[in-house]
Amino acid sequence: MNLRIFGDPVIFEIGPVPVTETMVTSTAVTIALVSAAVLLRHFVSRQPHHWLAIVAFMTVDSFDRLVEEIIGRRHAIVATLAGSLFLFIAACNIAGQLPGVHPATGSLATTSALAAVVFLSVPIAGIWTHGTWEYVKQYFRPNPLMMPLHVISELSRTLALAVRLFGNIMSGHLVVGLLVALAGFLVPTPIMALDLLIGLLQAYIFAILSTVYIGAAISAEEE
Amino acid sequence: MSPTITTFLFEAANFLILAGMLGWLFFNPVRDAIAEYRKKFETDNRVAAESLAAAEEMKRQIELERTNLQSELNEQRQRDREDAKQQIQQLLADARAAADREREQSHRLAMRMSETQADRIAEVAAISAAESVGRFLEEIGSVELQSAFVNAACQQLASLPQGKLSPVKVESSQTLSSEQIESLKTALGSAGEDADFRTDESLRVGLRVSTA
Repeated sequence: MNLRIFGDPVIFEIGPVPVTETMVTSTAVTIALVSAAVLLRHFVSRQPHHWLAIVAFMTVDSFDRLVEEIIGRRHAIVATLAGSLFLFIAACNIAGQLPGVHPATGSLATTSALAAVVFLSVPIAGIWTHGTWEYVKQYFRPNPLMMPLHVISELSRTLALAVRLFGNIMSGHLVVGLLVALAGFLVPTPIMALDLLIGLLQAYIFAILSTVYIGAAISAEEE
Repeated sequence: MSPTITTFLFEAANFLILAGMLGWLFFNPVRDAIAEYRKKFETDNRVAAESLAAAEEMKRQIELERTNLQSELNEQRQRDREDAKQQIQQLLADARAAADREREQSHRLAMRMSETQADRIAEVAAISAAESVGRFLEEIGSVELQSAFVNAACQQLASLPQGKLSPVKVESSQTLSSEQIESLKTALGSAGEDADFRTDESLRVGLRVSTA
């Protein structure tokens, strides 16, 4: 097992573009999620009483309710974004439990990309909801001197999103890899279970925080 | 190109594509299905609520109708009770009247029976008295008494207007002597010539003269 903290090995290159292991893993996770989505949609449309259709209903409704509790009203786009974040991160973390698979969320590039998406989603949602000027005015409240602090706050929370997810997943994967290397295959099983739980929990935290940030931008004027 | 930057850009694009595809293939269809089911449930709930309201209204109308019927029934019972009382009173009055009439009839019948019995008693008494008198007269009967009766009859006949007595029938308890017959013929005058003289023992004593 190759243990690494930073840097992704390049598997192959397509012209000048290097294809890293994280890219392959996340692509596989994406294909798996899309396939699962197609399968669940089939059950939803054809066999709505099948347990997979019920799982799909519960999943979507859970994210809709989560967004409703945070924002105060249902918002399909935010719920879709939060649900996609949770499913992608959780699927990447679960995939990291497979032998020989490095989780995509164990790469700082991936978590930074997800955090960047959230970072960009916040002003887009704010401008979409309140307009550009109204959204920009929020940075100058309650005092124009607070504007740098607002910007630092947004940057820092984005950085915190990326580093938190990366640190938790990378550390868990590293601990499991070290235990496997030192003690064998069966010893790290409890740690793997804990790592799986932490992975799901971090996915949930990432989705919740993203919803909170975007919800704050949407409902700032209302507050 | 740096692998880290490539990975960053690829992951960002990959996630945006994934979010779009999940939204298109999973979240939106499932959300639409949920909305459809929720709409269906709301429709069913509304229909059920309407049915419940209709049932409640029907129940209320039935209760109202039942109450009205109950009151009408009570009124009808009251009327029937009063009618029954009136009929009872009428029957009692009729029965009393019939009883009074019957009693009156019985009274009259009793009165008639009493009168009849009185007549009968009087008749019996008269008969008994006649028999007693007859027996008395038989005991004391003699030629002189017969002759006295004949003489009395002659006197009475002589006082009657002559010529309007015929036909005359003379009945006697004992056979009249020729002298007595001759006296009677004399008393009868012209009617005495055709007079019929008979003996009737049922008279017991005396004689009976029948004229026109």
